[in-house]
Amino acid sequence: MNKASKTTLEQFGKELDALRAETISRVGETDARYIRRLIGIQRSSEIAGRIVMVLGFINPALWILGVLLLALAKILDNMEIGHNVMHGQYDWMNDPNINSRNFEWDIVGDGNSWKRYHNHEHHTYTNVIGKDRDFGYGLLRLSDDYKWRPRNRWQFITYVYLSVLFEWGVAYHELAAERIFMGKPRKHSSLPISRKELRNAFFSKAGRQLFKDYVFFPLLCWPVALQVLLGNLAANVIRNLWTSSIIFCGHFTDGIHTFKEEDIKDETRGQWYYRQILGSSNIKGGKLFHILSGHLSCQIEHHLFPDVPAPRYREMMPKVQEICRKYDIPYNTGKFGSQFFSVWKRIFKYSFPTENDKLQGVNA
Amino acid sequence: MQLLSKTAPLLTNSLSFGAYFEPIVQLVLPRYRANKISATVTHVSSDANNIYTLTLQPNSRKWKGFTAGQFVQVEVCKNGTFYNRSFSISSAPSLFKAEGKIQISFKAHAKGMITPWMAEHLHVGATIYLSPAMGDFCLSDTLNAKLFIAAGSGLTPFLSMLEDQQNTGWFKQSTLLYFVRTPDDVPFTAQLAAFRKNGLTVKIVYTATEGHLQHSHLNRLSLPLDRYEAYICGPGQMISNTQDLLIEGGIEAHSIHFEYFGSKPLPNADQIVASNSSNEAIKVDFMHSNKLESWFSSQPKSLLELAESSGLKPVSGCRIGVCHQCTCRKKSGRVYNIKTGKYSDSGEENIQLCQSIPVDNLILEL
Repeated sequence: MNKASKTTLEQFGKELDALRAETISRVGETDARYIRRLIGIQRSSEIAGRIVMVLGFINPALWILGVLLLALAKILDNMEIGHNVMHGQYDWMNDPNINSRNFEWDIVGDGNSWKRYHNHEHHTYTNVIGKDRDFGYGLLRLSDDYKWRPRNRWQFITYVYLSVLFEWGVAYHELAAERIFMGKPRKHSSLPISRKELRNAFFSKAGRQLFKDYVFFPLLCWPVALQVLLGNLAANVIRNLWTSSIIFCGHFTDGIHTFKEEDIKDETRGQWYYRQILGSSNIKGGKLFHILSGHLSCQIEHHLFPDVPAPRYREMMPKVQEICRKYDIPYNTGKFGSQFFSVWKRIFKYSFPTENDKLQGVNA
Repeated sequence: MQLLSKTAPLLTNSLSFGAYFEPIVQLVLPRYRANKISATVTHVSSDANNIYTLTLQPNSRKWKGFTAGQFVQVEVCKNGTFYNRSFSISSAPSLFKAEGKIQISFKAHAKGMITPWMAEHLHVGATIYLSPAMGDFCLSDTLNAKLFIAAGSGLTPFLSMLEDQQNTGWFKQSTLLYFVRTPDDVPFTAQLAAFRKNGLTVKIVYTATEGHLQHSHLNRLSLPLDRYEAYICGPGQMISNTQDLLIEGGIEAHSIHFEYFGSKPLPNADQIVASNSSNEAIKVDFMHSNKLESWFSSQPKSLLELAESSGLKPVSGCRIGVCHQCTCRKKSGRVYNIKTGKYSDSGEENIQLCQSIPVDNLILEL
């Protein structure tokens, strides 16, 4: 970890704390109205998508339109709504449905499982090798911190598979760590539920999703069952590709830093903020793009302030950038195309042995 | 219905179909809420001592009416956040029968979070959400003479009880003893005058000069208390004191009815943890948040307050054990419910965070 002085970082942390407090003080009615409206639009889009898709037998263009509407609904549900609501960004509304305890998203992964590993593991130990399993998802080698293995040669293909099946990655993430189906159970597990409960929750949620998209709605529209089944599959895959692409741009772009466990020992608030910024990258774009990405395009702001309502990140962005400039801290942002390209470059680069490996692999 | 409630999560990932469609309906009707009964404010009046009275018209036949003395939970949306508060209905059942309206009266507490906001923002035409009428603080069907004792805004359920009873036999033999700070603070003067005119004995005690209820106040009434039925409404401490005095004065315990305004005071924690003989900290494990907190009997807090003081934000509502929004799954350990006065089982069950204090080490799904 590039050591900036502790006192400088303390001052830096205070400025970010002040920005957070100032933003929170303005959160209220506007934010509540926004999220309700967005959920209303998302659900209208889902219903419209499912209906228009059926009309595909009149004109195939309608099928395509239906698929796109359903994909849009799933993207909004997963990104701007589900991800953010389940982060607790709207818990202050005290709404029985829009809160991190009750919200469940339209994806095969169980929300409670995701909340456990994402909110705790990924957001606390961002990019700490060995702690944050989101760094490469245990499938991809994305830095020198990991020794090269022959299977890494094919990791671009693994990456394509992962992107197409992304929701299954989300669903299986915690089960993989706990080695529920294969391997020896984890030695030091902090799993707050039993292994059986974890397995049941996985099957229950995945089963519900599969039943809904691939059994119930196709059968409901019987004569065109296949058309509906394929439409739902297409919508799910479009959503998977989109979410995967956005999420990969958040932590695996060029210039992203990784950390070692000893780096985070006795970490101060300021140092924690500093690590979040070095470990995250933003994507530039318009308002609509930010909404479709669930404001993960403001990944830096999200990692600094995970429970601030996401639309507020847009107004925080220039202020965070200014504070970074003042303290000479790199702020990683770029257009979608260039950020995405740098992710691909990274996947390719680490497919092959790098300098460290040639020096007989210092890292285990 | 059973089938619908099971299929909703399956097909929509929402708790109910109502919850799924609610945001869509709100695109057109912003005030719509599924599974809630809204009511429109049709009149607002203010009275002495910062007391406000709202006339409310429930917008659905699903609101079934009430018995005099009952209360409702009112939910308001203040700057995007829903807040619940309980208020006694102060109007008579006859008003609801005739016009479909009810009234609630409340004191705008200067430091309160919601009541001053309600006074300022709830104008004619505003929408609030109502629970069904609740509570069993109602007139018994005996014809005995009654002694009503109220303090401050605790007068409101009695206004509802007395309004429709002015022609009954017991009305003229009954007494209302009302405690209020100064003569300037007496609200509902017209109604009190009408009660008096129709034969009710109304005795107002000014606490600023005469203090709270004492033997002398009761003695001065010179009532044969053993033949009376008593109704008490006010803050927790006032109720406990009044109960003791009345029992000393000869009223039987089962003839005393009471309603707490606000939360019941926390009982002496030492008694509760008596079963846990040592005075050590009780550990509360908020398992989903990976937080372990200590609870000390020297600083009794509800589990809701404990969770909040450790930075968690559990869903909560009325904070007095009515709305069940803060209900949480307890994995293990025993709790004492300050409302029901009961100890829980040690196994897995739902508890109300705002009403529970730990008896032994707990694991909560929070």
